[in-house]
Amino acid sequence: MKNLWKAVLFSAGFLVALVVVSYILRPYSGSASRKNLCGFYAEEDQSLDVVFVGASSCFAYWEAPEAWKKYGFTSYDFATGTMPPQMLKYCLKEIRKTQSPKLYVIDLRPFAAAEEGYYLDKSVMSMDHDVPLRNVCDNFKYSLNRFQMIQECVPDEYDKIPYYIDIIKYHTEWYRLLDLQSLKFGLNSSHDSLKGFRLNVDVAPVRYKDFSKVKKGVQMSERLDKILYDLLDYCKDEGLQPLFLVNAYCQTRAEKKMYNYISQVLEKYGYDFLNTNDYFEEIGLDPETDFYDRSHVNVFGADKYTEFVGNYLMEHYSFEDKRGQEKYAQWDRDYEVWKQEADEVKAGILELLETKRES
Amino acid sequence: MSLVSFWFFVFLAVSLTVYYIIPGKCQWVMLLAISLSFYALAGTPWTAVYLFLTVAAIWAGSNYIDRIRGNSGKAKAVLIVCLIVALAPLVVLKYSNFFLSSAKMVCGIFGGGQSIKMVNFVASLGVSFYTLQAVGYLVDVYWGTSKPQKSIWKTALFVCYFPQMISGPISRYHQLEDQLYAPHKFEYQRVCFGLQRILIGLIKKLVVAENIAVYANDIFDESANYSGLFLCIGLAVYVIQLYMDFSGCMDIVLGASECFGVYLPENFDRPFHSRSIQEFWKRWHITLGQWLQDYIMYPILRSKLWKKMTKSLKASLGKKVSKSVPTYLAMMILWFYMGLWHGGAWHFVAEGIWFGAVIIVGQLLDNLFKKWKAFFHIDSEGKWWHGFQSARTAVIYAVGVLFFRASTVGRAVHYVKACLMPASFMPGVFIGQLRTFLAPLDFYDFLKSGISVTLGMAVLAVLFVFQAKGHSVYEWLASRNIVVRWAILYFLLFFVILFGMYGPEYDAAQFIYGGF
Repeated sequence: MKNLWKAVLFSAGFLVALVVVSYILRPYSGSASRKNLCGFYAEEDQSLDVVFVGASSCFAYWEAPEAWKKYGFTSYDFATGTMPPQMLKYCLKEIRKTQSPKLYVIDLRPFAAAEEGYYLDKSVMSMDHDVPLRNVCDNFKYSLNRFQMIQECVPDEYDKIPYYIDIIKYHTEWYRLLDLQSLKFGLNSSHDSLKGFRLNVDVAPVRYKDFSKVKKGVQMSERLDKILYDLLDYCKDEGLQPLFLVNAYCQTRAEKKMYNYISQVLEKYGYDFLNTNDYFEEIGLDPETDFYDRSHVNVFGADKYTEFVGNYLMEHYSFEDKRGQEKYAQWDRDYEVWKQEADEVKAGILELLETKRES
Repeated sequence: MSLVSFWFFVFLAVSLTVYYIIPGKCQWVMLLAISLSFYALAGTPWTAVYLFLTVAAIWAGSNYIDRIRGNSGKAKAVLIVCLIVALAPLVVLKYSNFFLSSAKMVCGIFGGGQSIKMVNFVASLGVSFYTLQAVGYLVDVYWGTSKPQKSIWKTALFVCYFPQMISGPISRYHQLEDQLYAPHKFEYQRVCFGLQRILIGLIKKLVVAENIAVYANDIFDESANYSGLFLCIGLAVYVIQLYMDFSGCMDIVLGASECFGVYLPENFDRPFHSRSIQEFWKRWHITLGQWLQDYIMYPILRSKLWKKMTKSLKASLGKKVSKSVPTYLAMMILWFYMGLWHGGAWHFVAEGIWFGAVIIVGQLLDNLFKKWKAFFHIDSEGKWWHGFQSARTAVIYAVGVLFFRASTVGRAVHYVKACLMPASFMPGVFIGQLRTFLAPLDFYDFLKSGISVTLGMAVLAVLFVFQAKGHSVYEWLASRNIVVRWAILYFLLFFVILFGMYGPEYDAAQFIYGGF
């Protein structure tokens, strides 16, 4: 019996160490997905009012620190690069382990990116590609939810073992054990003052076309349809309050039709839907200066977008103003960090614009 | 399912749990079920028909031979028939193309052979190992040194016991019969020792062998770009890879078997400590060498034909020649088969012949060597002389291995010639070739591999020191206090996890000796 306990204790010690080492070896290199999700885990339990869930179309748009300053509610971008739509449900489950937000803002762009023929450009990867899948899997903490997500969302033809146990993939990066920056992620949790928003010093003019008059809806592929209904059923069964959102970008006619179709489905469930592309002018987005590519706004665009969506949220939902409460003092400190970093990035973008104009 | 795959360890854990939960008298049945499941998961399940054919032949043959023991002629006939049946899968599956291509080559000399086509058979997993084991058992029963096993299922377990099935060792029936079928109680320390041995095997295979395999392969695949010292280093690297791969595999096999309470015979005993190539083969792949000696060489020497040859040589050429020539002939047959066992190709045969020839020449020149040693006042027991002999043995072995590694005899000979080009030993040439070698490599990958191999060798060096002093590293570890013991074990576990080469980008699944 004594030996059995020894074996159990030894194995438990090994597993704990394996998990910690595994978290440290996960690719960091400043990746948005890692910072966002580890930042989320570092948030105090039951402290968030709104969580934005989705792809880069969340973390490039919603400025949570700015919203805090302006409206007094707490929010976070739970977002990874090119998030596959089949993983949205598991992200909601993961969020609900530590937070009970009043509102879940669910990004619909992963559906457009996943639909065959609707890729934004050739370089965007499919929903079954290793990178987008790993952006989510390899940043979740080890848990049953993560296990189920991999089981359900990673295609069966893949070897799933290196997904379940990601150290199998990343073990060759052992030198990260000597890197202080990586060691900080030993518990897969690291405070993020930007609350999931990612700044990018870049600017590029885009060509925007207004499809707000297009009212026709076109059904998605069967697989995406199933994913959508599965997500909606989950929200319904769990009694969640979601808002389905399309962020402003240079959408195509086909994408607009797909969003129209989704809005029809949402109507059946009684869920709110907002396609901010229909309010491009009201938002005040300038295609010349507010984007860094056709799918993402830069910080100037994000400022305008956050204000528009923030006003919408304040108008349609009620949130307690938590500013000034001692429990949320850290949010004020985080805002200062955000402000400083955002100002630096804005200055960089202005400089770029100046250089581009000169050339 | 490879012995270093994630699923193998899951399989092992589940098997061990079930094995120790069930009553002792049922354990051997469970072991057979585990072995057959392993066969189905690891290989092509339908090739089990060959395995069953071999099992049925030796089971029926051994029992029938025992029943008709008084009638030696009939027993011999039964033995021959059963041997043919048992050996047929090995010969047909593994050597058909060898015979066909050799026939085509011979016919080609006379302008024919165009109609000879190669065949494509799927070999049964571990056929080279389990066939020899089965044949050994049958012959032992014929000789009366083993009693026949009455149960066909127990016979099947002896032949296809899963840890040894893919890469050996080639066990004898008398070594396993008391262990395989007896009940085993769970012994914590025995299981710990078994698992620790597996860990050492993983360091050898995944940390050292796999890391250097990339570079050994690079040099061999592009050997036309290199010469002299560089090729010699490439060969040395391959020898290290082969040793680490095969002995690592054996550590995993023996460790896994130890967990079940079955101690398999050792296959390695510090071979690079050998003073001669003859001694080397008593320390490297020990069970194959012993098998070939016991079931090929000695029966040949005892055969009527050889006795007749000895007699006629004694009459015509004297006692000394009559003793040595038949022995050397028998040895050459053994080495011929040793080469052929590794694969149906002439370069494998050349490997065997090389070792056989070196041993025979060594014996022929033994007196001369003794005179030289006396003349130069060399202390045969001195460390330096031992070191020189070990180095010489390693070089001879490396040349033989070249035939094993090269895809043809011609390429092996070309490699040796290129190694011996004196101009290529100039530092400038060496540095130029080193640059060519390093140019396409990723510096950080190369550095990481270098660190992994160096650390791996350092860990194994400690182990070898223990072995050399005749100590058991496992017992030493067990005698430490729990903090030290666990710290060492955690270190070794994470050492393999972090520095081993495995995962989605690598295919470390195959052991070099797993292909036989």
